[in-house]
Amino acid sequence: MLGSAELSFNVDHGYLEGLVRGCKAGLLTQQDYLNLVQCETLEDLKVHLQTTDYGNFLADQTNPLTVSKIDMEMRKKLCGEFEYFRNHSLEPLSTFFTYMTCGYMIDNVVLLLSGALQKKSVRDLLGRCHPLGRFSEMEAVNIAETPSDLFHAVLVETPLAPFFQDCMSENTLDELNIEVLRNKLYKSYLEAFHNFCKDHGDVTAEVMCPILEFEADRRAFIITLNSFGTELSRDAREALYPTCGRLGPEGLRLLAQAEDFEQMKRVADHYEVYKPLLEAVGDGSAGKSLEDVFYEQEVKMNVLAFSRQFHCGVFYAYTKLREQEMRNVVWIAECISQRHRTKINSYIPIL
Amino acid sequence: MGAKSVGPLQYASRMEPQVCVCTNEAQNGLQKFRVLRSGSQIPEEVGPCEAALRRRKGLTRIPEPEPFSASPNPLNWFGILVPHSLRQAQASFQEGLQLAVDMASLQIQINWGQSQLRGLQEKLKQLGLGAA
Repeated sequence: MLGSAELSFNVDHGYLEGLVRGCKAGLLTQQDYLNLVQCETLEDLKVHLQTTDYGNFLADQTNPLTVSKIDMEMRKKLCGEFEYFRNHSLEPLSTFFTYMTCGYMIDNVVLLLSGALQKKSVRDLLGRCHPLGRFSEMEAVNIAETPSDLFHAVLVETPLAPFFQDCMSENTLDELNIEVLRNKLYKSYLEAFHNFCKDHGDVTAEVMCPILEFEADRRAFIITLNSFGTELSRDAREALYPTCGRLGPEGLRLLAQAEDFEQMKRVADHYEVYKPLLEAVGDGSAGKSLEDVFYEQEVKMNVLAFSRQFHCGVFYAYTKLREQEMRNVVWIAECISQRHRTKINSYIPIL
Repeated sequence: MGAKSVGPLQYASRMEPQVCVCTNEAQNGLQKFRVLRSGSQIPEEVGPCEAALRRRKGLTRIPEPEPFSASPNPLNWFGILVPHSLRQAQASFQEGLQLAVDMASLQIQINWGQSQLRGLQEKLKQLGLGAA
């Protein structure tokens, strides 16, 4: 039903939307970042974070404070909020949340598989998995030898099952194939998520579809950049690109032919959204990297999601903005703890 | 993908080095450092060695047969599509390695030169005292 979001959304999801907007108001502001950047030690950082929405989250951490402890506690807080939203949600918002967690599940599965390749213990690996991507069959992932084993024995009951259609052809799980598996799973997941949002229609589709299209194109660019000089062939590379983005089949075909950064830039010149982004990339270690430029664009789109009401995209946008904030705080904390402050201002401002 | 996918869980706790530094004694009795890639062998040397001093004799020792022909690139521990910044970091490190080894050799020569200078200055002082 077109245009009925204002009438029906608040019945089921109004409380949660109010809650997430309140949480969004607690994101760190520019003033907070200016304070954090001036800290001399991690203890100062902890004191400054106590005045923000984080409060005393580091109170029961023992000395000495390390960056990984800060990261872990921030992630715990985000997961607590996410689980609260998820437990209180009704359809279709709960399916939306399930789609959001699939991305983290894919990362966890690949982490467990590559750890098994290196003969690491399952306990260590489970401790490192992302909590939002936790599922009950996780401990059994490392026994799988081939992708079809993995599917039939372990993942057939999880939400990842429908994404396995293209991935069954590889024989063994070595380094190259694990990477290919990860990207193929993510491609199917992104396309399924995009279809779900499009079918949902209404404001959710208007907000989420551009965000997911940008995510698809961004993955295509980053895969291309990272595959220069590796043994990944052009056809194999093209099979990893998600197709639900603005680049379309023509753009993806051009991108698959690119052999260096200049050629990639020429492909982006055809698209008015991506031309300024690729031009903003500086060379070498000075200036921004391609990933930084994409993060900035993602932040812009996620902040704009809050300007519309009555849609599920606010939950996605809030989670992504919190993750960017975590990356910023970890960057500042690393610069402080390593006493290498030249690039401390290279975080990405959100508000 | 991205920086969060790179972490200490991806490498084994036991690693074989790709490059070793070995020392040998040059003609003037000073030590000289050299970078040696494991897998490539120079006929006079025996392959990766500790930093202990070895005298180069005329005889050559037969090098042990290598079990593998090319050592794998450690970048592959982190998957195939590693972040671009990691690749750049590996390239910069490799460039810096040769420089570091040359600097160590030069440092030894400087130290030797300084000790010679000090010795000569001492001798000069003693001759000066002896003459007076």
